Amino acid sequence: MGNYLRKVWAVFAKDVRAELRTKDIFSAMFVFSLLATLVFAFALPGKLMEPKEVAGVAPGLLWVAYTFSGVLGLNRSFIVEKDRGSLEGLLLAPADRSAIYLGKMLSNLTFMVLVEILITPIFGVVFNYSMWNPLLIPVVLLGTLGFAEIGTLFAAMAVNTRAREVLLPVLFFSIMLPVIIAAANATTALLSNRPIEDIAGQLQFIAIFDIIFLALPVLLFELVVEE
Amino acid sequence: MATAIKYTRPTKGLGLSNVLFWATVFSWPISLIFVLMAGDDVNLKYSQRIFYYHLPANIMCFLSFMIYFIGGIAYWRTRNRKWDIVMVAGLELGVFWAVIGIITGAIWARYAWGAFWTWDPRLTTVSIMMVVYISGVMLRSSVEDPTRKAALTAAFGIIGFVNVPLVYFSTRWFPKGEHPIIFGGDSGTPVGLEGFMFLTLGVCFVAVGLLFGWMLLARIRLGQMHEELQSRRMALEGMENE
Amino acid sequence: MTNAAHSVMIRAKGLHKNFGNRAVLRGVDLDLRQGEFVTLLGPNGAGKTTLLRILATLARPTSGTIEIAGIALKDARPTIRGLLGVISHQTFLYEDLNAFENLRFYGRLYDVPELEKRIHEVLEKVGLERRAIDRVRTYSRGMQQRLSIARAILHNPPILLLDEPDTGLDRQASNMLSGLIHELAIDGQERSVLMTTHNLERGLAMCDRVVVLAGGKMVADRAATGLTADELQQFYFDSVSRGR
Repeated sequence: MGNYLRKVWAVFAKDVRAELRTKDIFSAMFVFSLLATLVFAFALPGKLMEPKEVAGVAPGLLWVAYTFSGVLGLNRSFIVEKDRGSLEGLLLAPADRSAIYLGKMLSNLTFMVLVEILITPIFGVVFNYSMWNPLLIPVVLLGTLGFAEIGTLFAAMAVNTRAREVLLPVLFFSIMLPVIIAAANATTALLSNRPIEDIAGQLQFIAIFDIIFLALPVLLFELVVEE
Repeated sequence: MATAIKYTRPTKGLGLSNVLFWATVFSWPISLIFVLMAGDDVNLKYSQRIFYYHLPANIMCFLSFMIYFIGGIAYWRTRNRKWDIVMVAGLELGVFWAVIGIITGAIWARYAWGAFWTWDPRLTTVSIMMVVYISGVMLRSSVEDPTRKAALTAAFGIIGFVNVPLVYFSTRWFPKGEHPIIFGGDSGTPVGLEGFMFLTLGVCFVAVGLLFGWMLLARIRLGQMHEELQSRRMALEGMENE
Repeated sequence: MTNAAHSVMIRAKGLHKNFGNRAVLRGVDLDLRQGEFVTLLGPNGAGKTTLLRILATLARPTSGTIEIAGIALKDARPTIRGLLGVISHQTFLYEDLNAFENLRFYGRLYDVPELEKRIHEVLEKVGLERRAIDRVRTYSRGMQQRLSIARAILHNPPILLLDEPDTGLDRQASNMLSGLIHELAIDGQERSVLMTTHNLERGLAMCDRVVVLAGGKMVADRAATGLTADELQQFYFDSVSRGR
């Protein structure tokens, strides 16, 4: 087990180190989410006057920004591996292949969460609306975990297809809809200062989603990467 | 060395596929007669009749996705290509019946609720499912290597099917809709079905089910023929090289 | 196995591989003994790469059995991967990491003991110790391929699988690579090597045995001793045309 986790960690650490050096993935994700925020602001100018209106649209837009920038990063994470054949290098290693999945999943999760930490306050400033609520942290973390779990598996699938970058969002969004619905709903409740009981169901739901879709990709990863 | 190519004739006579085909041809007019004879619903009047096809269509849609799911699990465990044919059949028929279900549902909704579309939990679930499985079709079409194609289809089918109850559950956080609950249930607008209506529904189930069965067999047969064609083409290319 | 020096490292029996309906391998048998260097020749599309990918556990055979070092492949894939070193025309390297980091990463995946010491050892062997902290992106193709060799031997595998390792290298780099591979094969212990190549001459120079794959079948298998390049050329074309 310790051995297994060391390998998960090795894959994760390798991704983070390469990313620290180039910042390719992170900067693309961040700039994209920033642009998305600005586009929302310009496209919905009237909504920005009334706090009530903002409360209605902001949570949904926030999750749109999260998911779209997330897909950008997910795509990169496997295309980088494919370019020099290093994905095969990983598959040749004497490790259970799920360890590779988990390592990549953790690095994707880290990049997404970092972008979210940066973009959320900016989003609040642009929409002139307080985004601060400590309970938002579990909602965002659980939701993003779901994105990373499904997204990493699908990115590994999409990288072996003709359409590659185009296919991932198509697969990803259709499966992620339940999490997006629940997370956006919980965010709305929190930002309208509704009590915590109002989001317990959503949190539980996303947690169940996360557990199911951690187990399935771990089992299925070998199937999708082998010939 | 020429390989002898044997030609298998398509089944004639009382093959299951033919039985299903003719049973479908006979059962549909009968179901239509039943539907026309069934009494008008008090509130919904004439439009209610489309429901007799709407419900079976949705059940067949679900059944198709279940077939796809089972085929996916079987492929995952065995890596046997025959399951790929089953998966495709389930996938494509599922999308087809989802479209039928949504169209008939929209027609009903237009007359019952005055709008083609509402964000009702069941409607939302079916439409999300349809999107999921259409993206599954896209996934398939963008892979060349048949082995990889089957593997990715299987993985997606398993994930997609497990996702269905989650989708349904998540729709509770949508504004409430007013889809009628046909059997039991404690929310929505109950629609009472009595005597003859039940019988009509049963007849329609049989008619739609027969059509479904025939289509399923036809799609599987098509898949098998496609495989056979490929291997014959390979055999021919092999002979040209000799 | 009484005599360890001649124990069979790879034993493949009746390998079939279909891509859909296309049969790429049609019943391949192959034995590779300890310390043996076998060159695998064959025209394009003969299934050489597929065979190597199956042996490397990257692809699954449609049917047939493989034993590596006496262990059935299907029972212990992760363990068996630890016995293999694979070099292909792709380097498997991360261009944004330096040589040391690349090797450290792979070393961790392969559970290499005393990793740092071993990394310096292999870097020295491939002549890259002075470039160890440069990003791989700045390396020439030949240097990348040398690092790729260092990566493949890092865990000291008893079996090396080489899939056209000299593709894309210029003559000089290719010569250097051959020398390196040859050195590795006899390097202290008895490594078994299976190599595919298009370069008959170079393939012959290093090997103990030549096998020819054509149309998904093994069509020839003979010792390389006393074989000249011209003879091999003739032998190769004869066996390929017989195989069709």
